[in-house]
Amino acid sequence: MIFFEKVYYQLPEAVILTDKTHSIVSLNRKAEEIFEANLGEARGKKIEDLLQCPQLFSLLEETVVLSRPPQLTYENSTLMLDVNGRKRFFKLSIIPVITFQNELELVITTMAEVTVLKEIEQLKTDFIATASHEFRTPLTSISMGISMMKTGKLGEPTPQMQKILDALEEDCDRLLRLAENLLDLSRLESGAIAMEIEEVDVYRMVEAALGTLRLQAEKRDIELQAHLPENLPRIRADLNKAIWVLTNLVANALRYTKEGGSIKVSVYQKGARLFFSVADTGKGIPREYQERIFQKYVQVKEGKKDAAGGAGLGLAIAKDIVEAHGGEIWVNSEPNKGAVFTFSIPVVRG
Amino acid sequence: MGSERKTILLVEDEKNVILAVKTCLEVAEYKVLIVENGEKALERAKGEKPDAIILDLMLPDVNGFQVCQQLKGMEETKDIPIIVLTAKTGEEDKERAWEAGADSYLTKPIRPEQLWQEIQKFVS
Repeated sequence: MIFFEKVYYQLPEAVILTDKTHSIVSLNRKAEEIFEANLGEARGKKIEDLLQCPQLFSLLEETVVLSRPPQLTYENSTLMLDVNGRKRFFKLSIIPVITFQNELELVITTMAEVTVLKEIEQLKTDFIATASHEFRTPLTSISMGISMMKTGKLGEPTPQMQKILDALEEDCDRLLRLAENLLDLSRLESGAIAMEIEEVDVYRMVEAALGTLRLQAEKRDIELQAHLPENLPRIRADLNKAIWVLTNLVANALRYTKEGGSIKVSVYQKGARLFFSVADTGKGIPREYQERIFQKYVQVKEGKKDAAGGAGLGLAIAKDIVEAHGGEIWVNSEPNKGAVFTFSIPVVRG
Repeated sequence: MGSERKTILLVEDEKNVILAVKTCLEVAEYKVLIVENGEKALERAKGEKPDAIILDLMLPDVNGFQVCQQLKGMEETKDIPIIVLTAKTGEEDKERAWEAGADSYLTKPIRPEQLWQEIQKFVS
């Protein structure tokens, strides 16, 4: 054991061992630095007396009470601590050590410093926010100019001009959507968009998501159905963001489904989660894309270009949102048999 | 058409945006006055008493929030509706504009119909 102590003492991550009363059993060097106390002083003290961090404390409490690792999300596993007057960021992991008698013996907490990464991320976010805003000013004059010409009030455009104006307007909207998506994504990733978690009624959520798309489906002769069993529990979610994810999945399905096809939205419960799935009868997603499609800027490219156009950011944003809720998102698809996108969100407990 | 054309004061410093918004308003039979900074906006508003003001928030001298606040603070101009038209999309900016007394908050880019509709709410 002494050998292992030496090893973890040197680790670049902070390692903190606590018992079930949250008293310090051991600390390594990096942890001493963060706690601004050496092991001798710290041992036996309660962790909350050494570090003012309710976020960490509640995760440790969850671990001890339930004798299992806490449910970590991007947000609750990133700690911001004030060390020597400087804001520093740490990525957290918490592992309970359980004995054969099924008793919790120790909790191992590790904290990897991510301050530099956070700072770079902040620069990137600021840059994207600025760029996205800077897009808006020229887009104002371009789109307004196009709209004015289309009204015919500045002289009737010829059919050819009209066609070009329509194309310009479409691409203008596309640029704007791109700027907006980039901004949303960078805000989500930097945590600048706080999750406003509340108890959400799923019937209301699904209705809100589908409402705007029904007309579009009807126009294209695509059947859009929702199957929701009765008495579904409420979920813990940010209503607007959850609606955004579902709307986006259905909008994607609409984009890739031919006239006469159908899209089915279903919601079902399994354990402590609700699963939302969107099944379409489109051409499906090739196997090699099924994992990657949730990454930024990845689009399925097969022969003809996607007519609707997009930046390949929608699913990346959806993934960020779902994961921030502590859920998962994935796709099942077989070529020419359509695709089923599913995401899960925890239900309200108790 | 009514006999008297309504006057809109446009406070904006980007010349291409000025051209677009001005054309959009003129097509709808508004008389358009243009100023390119905050100081002139205050002067012109006091002198000409426009029926509404379209205000950008990012101006070269005083920022738009301050212009808004000052216009709403002066007896001669406090009743003129102020429509903010800005590239700032953040909730904090919107909040600040309300606090500064703005009557409406529109984000760029904007469709002509949207702008016409909004102006009609205040100018009839």
